[in-house]
Amino acid sequence: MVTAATPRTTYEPVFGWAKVPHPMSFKEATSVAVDSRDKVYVFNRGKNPLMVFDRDGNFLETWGEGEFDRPHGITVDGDDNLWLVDDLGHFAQKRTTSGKVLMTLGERGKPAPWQGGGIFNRPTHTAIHPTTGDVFITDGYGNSRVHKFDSSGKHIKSWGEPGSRHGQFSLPHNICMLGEDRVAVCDRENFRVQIFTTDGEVVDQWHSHRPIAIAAGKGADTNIYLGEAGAPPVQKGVRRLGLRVMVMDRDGNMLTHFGNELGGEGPDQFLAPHGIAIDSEGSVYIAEVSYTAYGSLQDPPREVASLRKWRRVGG
Amino acid sequence: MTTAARALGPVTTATKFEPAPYWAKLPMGVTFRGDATSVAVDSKDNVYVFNRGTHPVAVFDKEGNFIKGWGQGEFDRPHGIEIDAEDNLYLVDDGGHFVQKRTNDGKIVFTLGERGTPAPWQDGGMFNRPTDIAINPATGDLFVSDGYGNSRVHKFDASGKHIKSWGEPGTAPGQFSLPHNVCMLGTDKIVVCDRENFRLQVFTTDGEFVDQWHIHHPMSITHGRNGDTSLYVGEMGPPPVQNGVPNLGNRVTILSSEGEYLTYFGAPLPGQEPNQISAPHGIATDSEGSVYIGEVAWTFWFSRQPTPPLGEIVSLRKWQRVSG
Repeated sequence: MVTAATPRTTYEPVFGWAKVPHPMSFKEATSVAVDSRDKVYVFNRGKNPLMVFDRDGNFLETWGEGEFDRPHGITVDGDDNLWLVDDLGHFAQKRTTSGKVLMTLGERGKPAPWQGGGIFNRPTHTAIHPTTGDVFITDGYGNSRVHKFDSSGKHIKSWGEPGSRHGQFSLPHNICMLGEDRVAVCDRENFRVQIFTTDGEVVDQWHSHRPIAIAAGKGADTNIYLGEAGAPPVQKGVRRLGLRVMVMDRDGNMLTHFGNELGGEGPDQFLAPHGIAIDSEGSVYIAEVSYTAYGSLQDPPREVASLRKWRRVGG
Repeated sequence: MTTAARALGPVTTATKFEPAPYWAKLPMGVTFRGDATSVAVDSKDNVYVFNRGTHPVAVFDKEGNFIKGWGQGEFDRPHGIEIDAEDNLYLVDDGGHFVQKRTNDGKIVFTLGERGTPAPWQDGGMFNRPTDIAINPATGDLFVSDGYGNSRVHKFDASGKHIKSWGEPGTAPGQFSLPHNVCMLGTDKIVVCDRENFRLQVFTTDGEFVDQWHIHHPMSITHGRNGDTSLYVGEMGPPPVQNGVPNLGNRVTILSSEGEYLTYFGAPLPGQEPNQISAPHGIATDSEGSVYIGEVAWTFWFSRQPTPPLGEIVSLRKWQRVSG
């Protein structure tokens, strides 16, 4: 287990980490999770929506074909179960690491009314409380809410509404625990991370550039890893506008960051960070919706790299 | 008989504003073409609307009666306007890459930058699609936000001599992602709408970073007059992914001079109704506490609707301070 990163910590990209058996394909990796043995779970939009790799990038297995409408977010809980969120399917599912369904929240293909506060309208991500097993789900593209459930899937409460004031959301896109008593929400189109108690009281907000992906370090690594989306079209090509990973402490102070100043296909560049996870060695995995953001716009359209690993190398 | 306007206090959380629809009376044939980009008010409460229609500078009295219009053919793309303590006008043309000081009746005093000749993109020169200007009431120094193609603020003395520039692209303090409006905060600080960073940045007049205030997509900013030290911020709407979601920008948020949120006005969604605001691109206040909002309503909203409306689109709003 590693300790928390500091401002002196450095990272380097691991080029070509995932070895995908031909002709399987991610199309684009939406999100990634790492279990207690450092196995890596990639939730993607190809024909094989869930692919598993060891920490060296060797392929282990795949499952889930035909069982999802549009993969969006994945999280591992303290018992190495997976929580999968399907935004266009409007459901969240708890599964074993081998794919057995343990629980489904929401009903596949049945959205709650748009922005009406029900469960769900295009949910995005989950966070699992490490001791109580309570489940927090961001919802999402069509419903500016966080829903809280107990570990059995019973709905406890929901909070949030559309807007830009404290406690309101403009596209809550990712969520993670901050220790045991707080959750951090990527309030993506409000350019901030909002911090709440586990009962939904606003505690703080951290200004940030289009925060889209968030995860906490493992074990003694108490840091928060934040993936920033890029700028809107009006700022296309301008340097240092998102498309990087910020490493922060639990109070929201930036310690360091990595990623090239410009987006692109190079080993140290990002195109569209969308999901993030950290392993026991402090390495960072970043899933990118790079087909939606970039590959689909090429002539002809093509798949581009959508899963990045950055290894913690010093400090 | 004229009397001095009663002094206003700063806005409080209890202050109320009401829309004054149909305020500007446009002579048939004069149109803003949906983009009254910016607005300024002189010492007599006359209102100057820098727009992309038939008469780039349209002047109204405080009752909204049209006084005159001028500037045909003299601008490429109107963007920002400001008025100094002597009622001179400063006009910022982003498509033309220049800033112009003119007398109140339109005579050119000086031009900064050269029309049609941009500085290299994101390179720090003057100018690449500048956006707005602020004038220090104490010294006459000028602060130009620049803009779409150059993440900078340039400072000039009152004669137009370049003093310094600051900023670069980015998201850290002192960096910019589309500095879109600028205004004075007293005589020793300026506030910049760092539009695509969703924050206001406060600097000393020497360019030292002082503070940043998180806010939704800040597009325009001005301060109160006549004893009102509040800041009025026009917030742009959300990106297309959030179209139709209520309470996301398209409103005027009012802050204290310390950046504390006080109140706001504007309906939850943009549109043509009297209480709605669509893309508040420029903003000004008068001595009575009224707020004028110039909107790029065509460019940012109505041109993107499935069936864009015909005829004159609301792009200039007046809201009156009615209590508190």
